Amino acid sequence: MEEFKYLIPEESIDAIMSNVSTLRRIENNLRGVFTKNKYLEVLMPSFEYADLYNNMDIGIEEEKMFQYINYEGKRVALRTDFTVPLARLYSSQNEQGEKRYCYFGKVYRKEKRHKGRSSEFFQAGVELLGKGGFVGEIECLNIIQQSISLLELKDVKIEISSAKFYNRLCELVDDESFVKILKRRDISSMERLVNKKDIQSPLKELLLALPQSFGGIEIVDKMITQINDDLLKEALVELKDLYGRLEMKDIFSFDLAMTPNMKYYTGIIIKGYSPYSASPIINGGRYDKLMNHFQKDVPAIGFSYDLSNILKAIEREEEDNA
Amino acid sequence: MLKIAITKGRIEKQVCKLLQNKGFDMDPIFNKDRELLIETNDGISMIFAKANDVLTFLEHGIVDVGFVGKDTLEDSDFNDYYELLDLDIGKCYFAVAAYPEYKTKNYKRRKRIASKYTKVAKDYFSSKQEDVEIIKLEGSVELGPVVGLSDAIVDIVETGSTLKANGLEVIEKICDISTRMIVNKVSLKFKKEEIFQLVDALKGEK
Repeated sequence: MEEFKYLIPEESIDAIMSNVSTLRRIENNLRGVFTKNKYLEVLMPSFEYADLYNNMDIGIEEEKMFQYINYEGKRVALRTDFTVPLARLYSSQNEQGEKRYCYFGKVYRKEKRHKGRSSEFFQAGVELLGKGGFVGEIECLNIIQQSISLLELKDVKIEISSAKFYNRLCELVDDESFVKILKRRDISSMERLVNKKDIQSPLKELLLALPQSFGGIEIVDKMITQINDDLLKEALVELKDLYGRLEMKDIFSFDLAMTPNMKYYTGIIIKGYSPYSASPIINGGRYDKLMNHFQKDVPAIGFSYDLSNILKAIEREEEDNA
Repeated sequence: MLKIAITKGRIEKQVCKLLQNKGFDMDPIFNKDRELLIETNDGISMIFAKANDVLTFLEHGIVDVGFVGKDTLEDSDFNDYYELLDLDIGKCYFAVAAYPEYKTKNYKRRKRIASKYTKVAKDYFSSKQEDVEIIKLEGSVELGPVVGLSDAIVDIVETGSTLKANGLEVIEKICDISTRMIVNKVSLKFKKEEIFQLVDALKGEK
């Protein structure tokens, strides 16, 4: 028998069968929450110009995109992410003011061979364009609150941080190695950096404590009392105020060492974790500079659920409790 | 329970010794026979694996913590981990090595470089804006220049005695290597206390 009759390509995952009903149930429940909050569901195309992604530095390497050259001789990529095409949509529709989009679908990213990783990711998410400041952030976090129980997972943790805090830290430390050290939470290299640059208190203590500065609101409170830089303080006070306005506080915590995965982030960064998933299940944040790329000055905030990881986590949680 | 993967061999011995000095119960490890998974009385479960596999287990969330050499991290594409600590043990360095004439010889062709660490070699020559041909060898990389397969090698240098015995010398040091403690990103969030307990214990050793 020919190979293609019984093998599937390495990029492929086998058909999902046992969990389809779970996936669709979660998807429908999320859709309910999104539409209740007046988000318009958009069915995005599978193909985009590769340059749309390439020019934007969204933290996805070019080699991860599935690309081909079309009849114009231009590179076309399979949808790699939803945020960028939705920003393009907003821009090309000449939208003004507030716009709420939600989406469900797959994104495609090439993975290395024999790593046991899939190249297709099922995502669901929302984008809120044209609404800046606290109001937008609270709206997004409220949607997370309303939808978190619909994920059918226990012990989900949502962590919030501030890109403003991060950007100011980068300015203050002013060393090209800093971002890498922070990304790795490399305590040893942080100590060396602090000594090399002869960084003084209280920034010194802040940097040394940063790798483990995550947890409840007390982490933010403590740091506010310890720092003297006005901009850092301002960023943290904003986080604290935001927290004060949330309803279900107990699902939220903070991670001040979080690094944004694209340069457009300007405000809060959001990540969600389950103990049963080795990668985050929620990613998002405020990226007010994203629309600048389309010559527009429009604030934007959004987040997405990684439904493939959530589905895997549900499976692992079930096995664990069986 | 904290799950740890340790690179088999030299790193295994050094890390286990270090943990024992710090008061961890390592007897089950020292008394092990050929088992690959061991549980200690401190509620730690340990597996022993090849360096690259330690990364794979960590990536998939099978273990929370891994002990590997910086060489493995540098040559891997996987970068979704926290590198909390430099244990300052197992120290050596990456270097370009060749016969002495490499430095002065004018190669009128693409140089050929043999290495087990192809990514490190590629990144290094790329940082020098030099285009070279990289040939992967799995071991005894010094053979490259000796048998005339390559002009130079990129390899780990500990004492330099193998290089010397074959007439080769270090042309340039690339970067330092030592054993690192790495952590799965999600594990850090859910096992903060246990992980930082381990960090604090290991940090004191320096």
